[in-house]
Amino acid sequence: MVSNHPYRPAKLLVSVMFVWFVFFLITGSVIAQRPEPKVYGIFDGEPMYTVLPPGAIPAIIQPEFLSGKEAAAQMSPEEPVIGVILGGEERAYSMWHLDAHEIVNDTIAGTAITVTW
Amino acid sequence: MKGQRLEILPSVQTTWARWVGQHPDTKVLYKEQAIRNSRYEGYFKDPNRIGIFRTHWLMERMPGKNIVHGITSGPHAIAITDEKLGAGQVLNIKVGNDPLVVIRAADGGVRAYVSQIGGQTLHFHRTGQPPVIKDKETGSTWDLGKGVCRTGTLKGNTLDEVVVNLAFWFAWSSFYPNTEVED
Repeated sequence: MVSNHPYRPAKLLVSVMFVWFVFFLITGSVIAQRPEPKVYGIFDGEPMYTVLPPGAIPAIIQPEFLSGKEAAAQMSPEEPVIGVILGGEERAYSMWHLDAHEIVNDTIAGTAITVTW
Repeated sequence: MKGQRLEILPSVQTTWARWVGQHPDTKVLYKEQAIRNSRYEGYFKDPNRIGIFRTHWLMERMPGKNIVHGITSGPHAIAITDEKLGAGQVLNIKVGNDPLVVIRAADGGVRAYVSQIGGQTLHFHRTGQPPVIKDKETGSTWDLGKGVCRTGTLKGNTLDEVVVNLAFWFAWSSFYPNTEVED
């Protein structure tokens, strides 16, 4: 039913505008208060910034491995992997998995390696 | 440990299907649960999201999110575009004074080797039916997925593999603003 009251559409518009005003006031102040990333050092003449606290993305320290057949159930055909061949051994590290860890400390054929992206 | 430098080892990036197809005896890093996509899908797909902030890169050469395969030798650097390394392509290039051969192997990974044996520079090409990779200097047949000569006068020789870095163009050109481009 269409309202014939002359002031209701105007009150609704003002209410909506007020809500949006408060929204932008809050988000704008939050954005303005977001701290600048801290420079923790200079490397090769370029500043290095801290964007996450230590430990935010935990490395894999003691990796476990499956055979290709065992892993089939948890791997997708198009899943990107880092492939390493060392000392005759072949290993694959899922990059989707590394999203949450970024570093794997591993040993292949007696050689200590770090896999990272 | 200041001043110490770790040795970077060759590796490849490819899909699981292509890797296991060529390396059936592979081991795979265990996951506690299946993961069906990247948490960074939005970033990878957005051509306007370049790095985190304050990124300096060679914007005029190509779009920042183009994939390149980067190789360095001393102060020299080269970026090979993904399109240049289609199936069957064999590239003979130089990075600085180093002659290299670069291919996309059967497992989908891009590999590069110093194309010299005993001081002799070799130039590789794909030839014959079915196609095989041979060097033009001796006609020897090579498995460039492993860098090993299989038949011919150089049988048993192995080429030295070098590191190939798969990167977005913006990142590569930020680190190596003097890079050459093979496209």
